[in-house]
Amino acid sequence: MKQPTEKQDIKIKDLKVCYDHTVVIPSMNLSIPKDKITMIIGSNGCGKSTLLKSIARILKPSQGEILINGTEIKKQAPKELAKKMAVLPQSPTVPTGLLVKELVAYGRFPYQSPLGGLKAHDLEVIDWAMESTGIMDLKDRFVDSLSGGQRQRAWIAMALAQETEILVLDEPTTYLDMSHQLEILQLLQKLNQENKTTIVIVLHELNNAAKFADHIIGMKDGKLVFEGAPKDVITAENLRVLYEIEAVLQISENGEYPICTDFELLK
Amino acid sequence: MKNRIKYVFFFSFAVLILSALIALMSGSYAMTIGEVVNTLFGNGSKAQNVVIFDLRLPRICVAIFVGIALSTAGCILQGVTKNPLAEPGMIGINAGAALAVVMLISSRSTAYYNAISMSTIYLMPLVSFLGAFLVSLLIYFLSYKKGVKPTRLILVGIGVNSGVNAIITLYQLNMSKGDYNQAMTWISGSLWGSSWVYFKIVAPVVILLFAIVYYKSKTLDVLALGDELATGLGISVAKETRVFLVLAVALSAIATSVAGNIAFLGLLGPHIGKRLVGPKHRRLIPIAALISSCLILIADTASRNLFTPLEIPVGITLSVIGVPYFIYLMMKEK
Repeated sequence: MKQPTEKQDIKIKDLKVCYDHTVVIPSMNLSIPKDKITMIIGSNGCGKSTLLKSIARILKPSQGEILINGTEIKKQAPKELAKKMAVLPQSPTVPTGLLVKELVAYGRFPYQSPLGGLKAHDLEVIDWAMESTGIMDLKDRFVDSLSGGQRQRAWIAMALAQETEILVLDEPTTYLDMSHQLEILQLLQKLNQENKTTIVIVLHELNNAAKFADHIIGMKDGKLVFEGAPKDVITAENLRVLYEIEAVLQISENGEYPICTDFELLK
Repeated sequence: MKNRIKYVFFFSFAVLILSALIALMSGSYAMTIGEVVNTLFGNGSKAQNVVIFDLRLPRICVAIFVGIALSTAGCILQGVTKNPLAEPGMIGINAGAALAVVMLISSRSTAYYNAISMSTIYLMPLVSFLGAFLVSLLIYFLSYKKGVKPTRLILVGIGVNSGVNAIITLYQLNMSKGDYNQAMTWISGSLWGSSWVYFKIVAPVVILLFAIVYYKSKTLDVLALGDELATGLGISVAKETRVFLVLAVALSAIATSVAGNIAFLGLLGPHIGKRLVGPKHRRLIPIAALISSCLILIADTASRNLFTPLEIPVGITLSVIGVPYFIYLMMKEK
């Protein structure tokens, strides 16, 4: 939609994040490639959601810097940052009595003046967002009347309406069945390919991560275990460290990504 | 949808005008609609002029602004806490204002409400705001634990509310009988004795605060989506929440300072409004204000006339409507 003038990228320097007195991420240095789909994987409680929330500035880090396009996020005006990066949390509050098109229109909030209505460009973007997520037919339905998969697409449409070059999603496919998971991931892939949107996702399904990611980050105990292309980093050895499992891997038919066909817990 | 909203607005406005007319007509000095209109256009008798311009009209105007204030405070609290049951009367804000005013009235030791001196009347909104503000601070700090969680805020508020009410009761027990009755009426929420002076205090403050809240209505919409999404959309959640809480406190305080502790008004208007026009605050805030104003007017007219010559506090009448509705809401919630 938007012709990007300058590419946004995310850099993390000496990041330390704590919950109360528990250190979740002791010290992390990371760079998230632009125009790519990056997936963060790891077992429960490894700090992957914490990392994502810190990037989304929902959590305040105790130390370190998070830079988007070379500027620290806390030095950027919240509304300006919202025009660069859209965030979809894990289980957003479902508002009652709100129409789908009204929800998607909330994505235009960073661009609107307090009393101004939606302008021609806003309406264009909202339509485009609903079109690309395939929820045009649902636009006059109430959000709380949608099924899980439809609702998730409505949230993604809202994030798209923010017209950002970075999209951050926390487990967007949890609670969805296999076909809906695929549908959402294919949608995100399409967005990435067509608009060069940088997408960062925390995901639990290893095989989906390996299939759709350009770049995978494996985390354990708040530390980076590996990062790289799925083919290079999804190895039996790495999975042994990451999940403490003994995985059986094979390569996909097109030879592009590894598939975990079976696994046992490490004795 | 657009037409429906216009229709709802027009209809609520008509109801408001109608309730105002009925309020002007009814009372111990009953008047016909013709007489009311005549008097409004300046052709009334001396008695009619007094009844309309000195007694009923100021009371109606004050009632409308109290309705607007409490309804808007309710919209804010429900939006910010994401709890549909939040209401200034329930989480102790009104009680705090009431306590402060009761202390003021009794310290000036006036026996009757209309005998309160002018200086006290002008002091009341300030003192009331101070009381509401101090109690809100207390609630805020008691519920603060790495940020304020809405549920904790509500629970702490309910606790503080009973605590403050207990202190009010304790205070009342030490009062003379005349003071006690006056304080009791006032605490239950009453528009008795409303005059143009009250109106002059309430109207400008409420208009100003209402305008600010209306101006920020989109922020309130986005805050209702939850902290994480609101942050992602570029809102400084903690800061905006504080600003909105201060606005809600100020609105409840100004309403309480003239009408006492009126419960449920901040719940009923926003809820009925939400059913009629949906959750977007730009539509919800004005319609909820209209509905709350209608409700308080109708309830006040009933309070004045049902048990004449006795007048029951309007807060009691509203509770008679509010309690069943509240229970209905509780049962509907999971």
